[in-house]
Amino acid sequence: MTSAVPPEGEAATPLLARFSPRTQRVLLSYVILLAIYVCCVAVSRDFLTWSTMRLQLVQATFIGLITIGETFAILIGQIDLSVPWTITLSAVLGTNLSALYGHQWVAFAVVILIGGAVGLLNTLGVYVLRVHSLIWTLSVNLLLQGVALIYTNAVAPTTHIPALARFLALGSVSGVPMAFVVWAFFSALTILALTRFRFGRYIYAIGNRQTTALLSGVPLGRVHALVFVLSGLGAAFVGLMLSGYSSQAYLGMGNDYLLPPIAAVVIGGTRLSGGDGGYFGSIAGALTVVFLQAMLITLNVSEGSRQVVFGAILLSLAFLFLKRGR
Amino acid sequence: MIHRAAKPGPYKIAFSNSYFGNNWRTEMLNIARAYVKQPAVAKYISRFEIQNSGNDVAQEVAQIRQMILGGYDAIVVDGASPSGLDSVIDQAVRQGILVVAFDNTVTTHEAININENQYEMGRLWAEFLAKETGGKGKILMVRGLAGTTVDNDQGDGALAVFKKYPGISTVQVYGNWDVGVNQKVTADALATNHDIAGVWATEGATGALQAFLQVNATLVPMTSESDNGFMMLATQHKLPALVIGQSPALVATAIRAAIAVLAGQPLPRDANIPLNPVTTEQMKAGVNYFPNLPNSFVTNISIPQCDVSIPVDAVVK
Repeated sequence: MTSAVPPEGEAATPLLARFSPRTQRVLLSYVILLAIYVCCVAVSRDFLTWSTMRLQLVQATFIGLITIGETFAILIGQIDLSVPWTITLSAVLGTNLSALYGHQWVAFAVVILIGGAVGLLNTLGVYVLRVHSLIWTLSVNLLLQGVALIYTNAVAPTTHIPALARFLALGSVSGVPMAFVVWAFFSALTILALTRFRFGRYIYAIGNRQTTALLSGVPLGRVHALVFVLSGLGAAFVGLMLSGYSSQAYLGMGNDYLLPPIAAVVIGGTRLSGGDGGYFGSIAGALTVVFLQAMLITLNVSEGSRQVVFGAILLSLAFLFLKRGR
Repeated sequence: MIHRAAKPGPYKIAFSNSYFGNNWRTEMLNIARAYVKQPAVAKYISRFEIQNSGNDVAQEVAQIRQMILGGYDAIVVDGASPSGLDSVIDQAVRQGILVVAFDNTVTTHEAININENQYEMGRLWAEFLAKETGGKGKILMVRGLAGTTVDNDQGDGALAVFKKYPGISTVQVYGNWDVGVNQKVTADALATNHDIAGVWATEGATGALQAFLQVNATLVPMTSESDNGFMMLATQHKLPALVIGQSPALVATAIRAAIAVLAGQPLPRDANIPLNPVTTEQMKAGVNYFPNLPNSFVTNISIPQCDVSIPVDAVVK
């Protein structure tokens, strides 16, 4: 009896090779996170304190929640670039309308309406009309910017920020930031959905080969719609949290949230070509991006060199994963 | 100096505005509409028209060309580009039309340029902090958008002062004039610097102050542009602060200058509008800050030195 499989525990097998390529990439993203964290601590001992970590966790939550939808979108071989103005529009409309109707739940209704509408609009372009998601979602972003401008020109923004939005962004439950609790909850749900639910299997099937997925009976339209709606909801929800964080909603507040979530997905080991990866890695990616930003601020280098270093590190990390992906 | 033969009024004045996508611009446009209706001003004006160009230089050039054909006596400009409008402005002046640029001023010497001195603003903020801290300690500078003229001028003005005090060191971060970014970078800077003695912040300083409150750090003297939210928090926490800001009422001084020159009064080609610094003790609810208005409201809507006084209900609709 011969076997092609080498006997278990043979000394020649390197430790890493025992894991599947996907697990290897996730491991790599956590090694990177650890390395960046060690660099942070080397720069300042304060990164060992809970008060500093709390701040970073809140920042990571904003990126992490957007990364959920972005991970789904990238897994099915698409991308969602309509995030920035979904954030702004949901924050401006949500705070204004909840002040107008005197009830903070109105803000949550706005989040659901805007997130859902943006998601369906993206599905219409990307799935029904077959426009490349890079172009379509970026155009939707511009469209939302226009809507926000028209709206704020006619209506004065409000001072009133729903108390629940402030609590979600700045509150804490027995020392743990509320934002982080929210992120942990949705992270668990996302990982569960990707690994245990049928939805997850459909997503990987579409990302690997859409035709095969279709022939195997995957409801392509419904999965696309669900992915984009979840992404829109994530961005709209972060918009509400951000208005709580800075105690106001203002034009352009989402502009810094276009690329960091995508960088987080890539650092997390999800392949940009789709079909391979997962959210567990994206968590490490979101934390890495936030620690990197904090470290560069702590180093007190000039803004130009800060951007060069940030860009260079992101590029080299992306390159590392692209190379391994081959 | 510019001095033209007096022309009998009333005058036809056009306003070419580049952009209206933020709070400052919205307030500025409302001030322009309200100012030309004030009785003392309205008697000089027979027609006033505003055109917005969506921050598009080519569009603004085309609009100014239309205004030249429209037979206006003067054109007021908030430009989409410092030099891109030069040729069309020169053309207008050759046709005998007076051009007054403000805020985003222009490089051509044919126009009158009216602005606030950003270097001076940065210098005054720094002087205030040097005095408050007794000339020693670590100053956190939350600057604007790196690489822009305004940020360079404000920063240079501040550093020229701080350099004179050997006891002062600076930590510089960039908040992009945005409240959320200000809050994030300040929180990050606070996490690793526990000995901040003062904060030199500009537009968006509300975020810098909120970061201090968020991490329960001891409040220190701070500076800001005229953010309503900052002034509310500063008075509430009795924080030593100095507020100076680019006034949206600059548009009114530009209209006023246009009328003056058309009426035959000599004026300098480059005018710096006096700054109106406000300290915490001078802050008065309903006068120079407004608790019932949004945090993002730009509070300095009047320039008393130029006889420009705009009631707040004309700015908020």
